[in-house]
Parts: sequence; C-alpha cells; structure tokens
Amino acid sequence: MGTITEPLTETPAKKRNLVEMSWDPITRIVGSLGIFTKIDFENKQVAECYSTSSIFRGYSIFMKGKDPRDAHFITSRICGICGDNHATCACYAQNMAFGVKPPNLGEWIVNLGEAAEYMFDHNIFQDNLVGVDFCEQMVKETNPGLWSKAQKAKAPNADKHGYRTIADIMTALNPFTGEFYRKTLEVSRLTREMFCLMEGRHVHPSTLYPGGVGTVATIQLFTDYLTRLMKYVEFMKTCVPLHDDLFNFWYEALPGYEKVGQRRILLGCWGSFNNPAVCDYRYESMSDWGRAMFVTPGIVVDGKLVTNDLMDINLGLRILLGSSFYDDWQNEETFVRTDPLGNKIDKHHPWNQTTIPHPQKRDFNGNYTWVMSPRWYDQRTGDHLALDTGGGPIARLWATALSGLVDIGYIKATGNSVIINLPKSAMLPEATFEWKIPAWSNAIERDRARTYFQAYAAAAGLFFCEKAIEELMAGRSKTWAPFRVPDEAISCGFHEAVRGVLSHHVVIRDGKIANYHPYPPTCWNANPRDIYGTPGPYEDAVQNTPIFEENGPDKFKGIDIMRAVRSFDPCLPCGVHMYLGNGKVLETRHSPMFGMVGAK
Amino acid sequence: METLTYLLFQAAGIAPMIPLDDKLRPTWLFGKTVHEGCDRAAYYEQDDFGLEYGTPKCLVKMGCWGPVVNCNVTKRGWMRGIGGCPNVGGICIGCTMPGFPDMFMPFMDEPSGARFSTAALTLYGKMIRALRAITNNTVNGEPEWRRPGRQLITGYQPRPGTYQAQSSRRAA
Repeated sequence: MGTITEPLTETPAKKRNLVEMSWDPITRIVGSLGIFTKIDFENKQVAECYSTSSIFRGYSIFMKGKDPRDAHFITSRICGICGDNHATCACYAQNMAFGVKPPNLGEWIVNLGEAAEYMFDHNIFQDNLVGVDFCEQMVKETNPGLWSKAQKAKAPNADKHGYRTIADIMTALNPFTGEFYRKTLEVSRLTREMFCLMEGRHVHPSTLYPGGVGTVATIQLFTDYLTRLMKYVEFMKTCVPLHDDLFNFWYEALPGYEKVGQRRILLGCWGSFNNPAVCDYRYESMSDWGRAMFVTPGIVVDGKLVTNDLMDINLGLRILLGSSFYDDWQNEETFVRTDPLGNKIDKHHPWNQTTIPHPQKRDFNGNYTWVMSPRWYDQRTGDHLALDTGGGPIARLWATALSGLVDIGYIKATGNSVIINLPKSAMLPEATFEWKIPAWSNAIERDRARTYFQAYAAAAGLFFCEKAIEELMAGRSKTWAPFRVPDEAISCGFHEAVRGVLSHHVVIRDGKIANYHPYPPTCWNANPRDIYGTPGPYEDAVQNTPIFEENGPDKFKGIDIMRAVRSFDPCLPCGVHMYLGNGKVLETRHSPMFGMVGAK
Repeated sequence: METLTYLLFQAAGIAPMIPLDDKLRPTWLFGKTVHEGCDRAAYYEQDDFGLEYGTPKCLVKMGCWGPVVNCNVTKRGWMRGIGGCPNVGGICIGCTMPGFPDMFMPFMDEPSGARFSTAALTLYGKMIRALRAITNNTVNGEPEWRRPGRQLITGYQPRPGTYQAQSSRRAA
C-alpha cells in the first residue's frame, strides 16, 4: 500500500507473547481497508486490533460549489458496489432541500429499485463471498476436525433445501464448483435485471432525479419485475433454511463460537423505503415519516431501543477525530447553528464539518487511517456511542422488530421478531420465516440476519409492486414532480446502504453546494479509536475474538478474524495479504478464486 | 471482459489487430453516439421533446448529452438488454467521455449545443411530424376489401365451377 507505516511498538506493560498479523487490503475491489492485529497464539485470542484505510476520497471537498441537482450523479460514483444507495440518499436530501414530494408512483419505483439492490448485493455477498469462509475447501484447510463433524451432522432442514448433511451444504458453497454457489450467481443476475428495470443502470442509476424518477411506468415494467421477483421468492424458500442449518451447526460444533466478532449491542439503522402516503420530505415532519418507513430507523443499545426518531438520530450525529489523518475544524466556519426547529447543531455535526486532510505516516500509537470516527451522542448518558451497522441487516431487523411498526401483510414486526410471509411460487408452497432477536451481536448473527433480510426485501418488493400497479391502474402514471432550486437551504437524507446506515448532509448557499457530507456505513464500522480512546466497531469486534482455527502461526489463515470482519460486509474480500511479524512476510489470497490462485 | 478476450485472441494470432479509434477505444463500443442507437431519437427528429422526466420522449431538453457522446448503451442496454440511459428515461451525462464530468455539469440543464440544433430543426421536425401523422392515420385503417360481408371484393376472379364461384354467385 502507499501509506508508510511506523513499526508497531509494543507497550512494555504487556508480557504476553504476541505475534503481529496484518491483512491489508481486506476489502472489496478498491482494497483500501487493512486490519492490523496482535495475536496471542498461546491463549488463542486476538489481543489488539487496528483498522486502517489507506485511501482519501475528498468528496466533501470537491462537492463544494457544484449545482445541488448534480449531487446524486456525483455521489453515486463514491462506490462501485452501492452507488445507487448514495444516489437515492442524495435524492432524498435534495427533495428536502428543494421542497419537492415525488408522485407516489415515483416513490414506489425507487423502493422497488432499492429492494432489488438489497436482494442482489446481500445474495452475492452472502454466498459468493461470505460463503467461501464456510465452504468445504476453507474448512478443510483451517479446521479439519470441524469437517469430520460436519460429515456426520444431519441437516435439520434437509427436506426444505435438499442437502442431507452440513458437509453437503459446505460442498455446495465451494467457489465455482459448488451447486449453491453457482445457483446464487444465477439468481443474483435476475435481481440486477430487476434493479435495471427500475433505475436504468446498476450501480450508477440513470433514471433517478430529485422529484422522482424518469422511468416510464407501464404494466409491462412491473410484470417484468414481478416475474423475476417470484423466482427469487422461490429461491429464498431454500436459502433461509439452508443458512439456519449452517450457522446453527457452527454454534453446536464449536462451543464458544458466539464470541467470534462479538461486541456490545450498539446498532444503528437509518431506515429504508419511504412511504409516499406519509413522507413529504419536510424536515419538520421527519419524525413521522421516518417512523412510517418500511424498514424502521432506530438505535439499539444493549438490546433496547433508544430511539426510532430520525430527528433524534440526526441531532445526535458527531464526527470525531482522534486517530485519523485530519485536522480539527474547530476554528472553521459554522454552517448551521440551529436546525429549522431551533435545535442547536453541534460543531462536530456533519452539517458543520470542514474536511482538512493532513497526510502523514501511519502510526498505530497516533494517527493511522483516513477514516474519521462517526459517533452518536447519547443524551441520556453523555456517551459518544460507537454504533455499528452489523453489515446492515442485523441492525435493520433489530430496529424494525423492536419498533413493531411495520405491518404490510408480507411483513410484520411483532416487537420481538419480524415475520416474513412469502406466497406460493412456481414449485413451492407458501412459507413463513420468523427472524427472532438474537442473544448476541456477533459474526454468526450478522450473517444469519443477512439471509433473513434477503427474504424481507423480496417480501417488501411484492408489496411495492402491488402498490405501484394500483397507482397505474388508477391512472396516476406520473413519476416525477418539478421543483425549483432555492438560494439557501439545509437538508439531510437518511437511507440504508446495503451494508448499513447512510446519510447525506447538505448546505446550499447562492444556489450552490456550500457543504456536503456523505456518511456511509463502512465509516461507522471501520473507524479508528476516537478522541476518547473508544475503538471503532471492527477493532473492538476483533479484539478478544477467540481463535478456533487449528493452524498455528506458520499456516495461519486468520479465518475467525476474517469471519468477524466480513460479517460487517466490508466490501469484496478479493485479495488478502498476510504479514507476520519478525520480518517474515507471508502472502496468501483468500479470494473466491483461491482454488485457482492458491498461496504463493 | 469481451475486450480482454479479444486481446487474448489477438495475442494468440487468431484475431486481427483490435479495431481502435483515435483515442484508442474499441470501435464496436465507442464508434457510435448514444443518440445513433437511441430508440427516442425519432422524437428528436420530429421536434417532439419531453419537458419533464418520466415521459417516453426525447430527453435533450432535460439535459441529455446523447447526441454527442460516444457509447453504445442505448443499443446494448445495461445487462441482458435491460436498462440503459436515455432509452429508459435517464439523461446521458457523458460518463464514458474523457471530458466527464466537468464538461457536462450541471447535468440537468439542456446542453448549450442542443439549443442551436433543436432550434434549427423546429420547422423540419414539425413538418415531418404532421406529414407522418397523416400517413400514420391512413395506414392505421384496414384496406377496403377487408370487411365483413358475403361479397368478395378483393378483386379475385373465381374460376367458374369452383366452390367460391358458386358461393359468390349465391351472394350476388
């Protein structure tokens, strides 16, 4: 990587025999996330963990002075995976700034597009990338003992998914050769087509605009979507029971596995799928339309719902420094002193942030990353909470379940669970799945929630499709409403990117962008120790993670750490380089192609 | 991916030199403009422009740069022929062009060049739209002979003694 790193100096107080191990890059495609750890092999535990990013983006700097209507076109280019989530969120923020409410049909089309996106991205990540960490080839390399157990373990849901033993499931997950792996690729393709039907292109949508969409709404459009969606619904009926069997086996076969990737329950969800019957995009009524979303926003601390009010969520946002390559903006301009309701806005709120990059050497005792530390200020305790998104689904399901507000037939939030009803499909009868609030926020539960949320998105898609057709049949076929760009405005957009919370904060002056700050999920998850010394979620989820891998330091693959980090969905785990202390460099690839590339 | 495959074929000596334009882009991808492949181009030709998003008409007045951008998305769609840009209601913002994004912002305003071109087109476009409407109306009618009734008026002359000859005699 391009960043120069100071050698990790061990604090003299530690007497343990620690081995430094680093994975850099660990992420999808751009490969800018690195995980640096110290592992205590004698006690089979990760002692310390630092999460770093070696890339500076600068969107908040070059957005200044641009036409506010260009925001979604530009911010969509932030990411090659979830650019449409940025575009959607930017449009939400623009709708608020421009005071425009899209026609109902436009809103349903956006929801259908985003539902397809969740179905696509979770699907391909879960079984083409995460699944590799649980497949036969991987398990044989890291835990041969577990493999022999799996061969004997009968799969309780075999009648639903067709795999007799857990080992059969693991074999089906082998990259390129596994049956389920290949089926997943095929299904993913359908969901991307669904997305393109609604938003034109994946991942930089062409048909999204402030004020609605440019998609031409016809019966044919929704038929094309629905026929594909029903194939996905059918797939979910085998996918959910298969993953339940797989993940439950891990708990049974490796007692204590719930500790892997476990951290305090500190989850944030900014809500998804606006309800056009309630949502008018006015800041003043944000609490109401936030609660009307079809994925309820919420902050969950220690299993309790702290708030599901978007207004509270917005006011509590704080961007802290501490270990990142930026200077403080205390002496810079304050853009927003109070919100439109007169609430005081903090200097470290995204509306008031000024980004001042300060490149320097990576030093794990000082500053070591380009990611700032977003936190949520808890008024009750005065704590700056390091919320995580758990990769998205676990936080969404948890906040939705506790709030108990969503009730659309296909989905019902009960207060302690979420019930998902899938209708009869081509070959399979109706199915009902219930996601129950788990006991832990850990790697396995993050992964399990992902599968359930795939079913949730499919069920929501069915509802949105019915609603859209209803509009069309009633003769309301407009998808876009005109607007005027004001000279002065402040606004915010709240959405769920695939892997978790996403917010865009905008300040408009003289009809141009004066300040713009997007906060995507990986900033919440991958951030460093803040000024109070509170570690970021990856860091504290990996720290103290027990090691179940049977390999010693020489052949160590770090699979348990990988599972912990990847449960947060940190983008594509394509190339992973491993660095062992004592000047010995070992490089391996944990890519989905590892069978072909191998270690070198 | 297909470009890489082509290069492999080329390296193996099975394919000729990859066809490139003067910017070294494969011509099968960049040889035509968005507009040349766009199924909304006929609206442009007929001076029939969408003045809001969400209509099936040409989007040039809404900020589409398709007429001057090299890209085949309108022909190929986004995946498996589905999706795309102006063909499905999204303005072309020139994202395949070396001048992107600066030369195309603000995206949602009509490109200045389009103002001249569309102004020059007004008379011609309106005229052919009107003429086509007349012809379109005509060809939407069925030919004279295709109507219910016992009399055969296609001009076909049945030979005497055949079934048709007898039946048409009876009708007469």
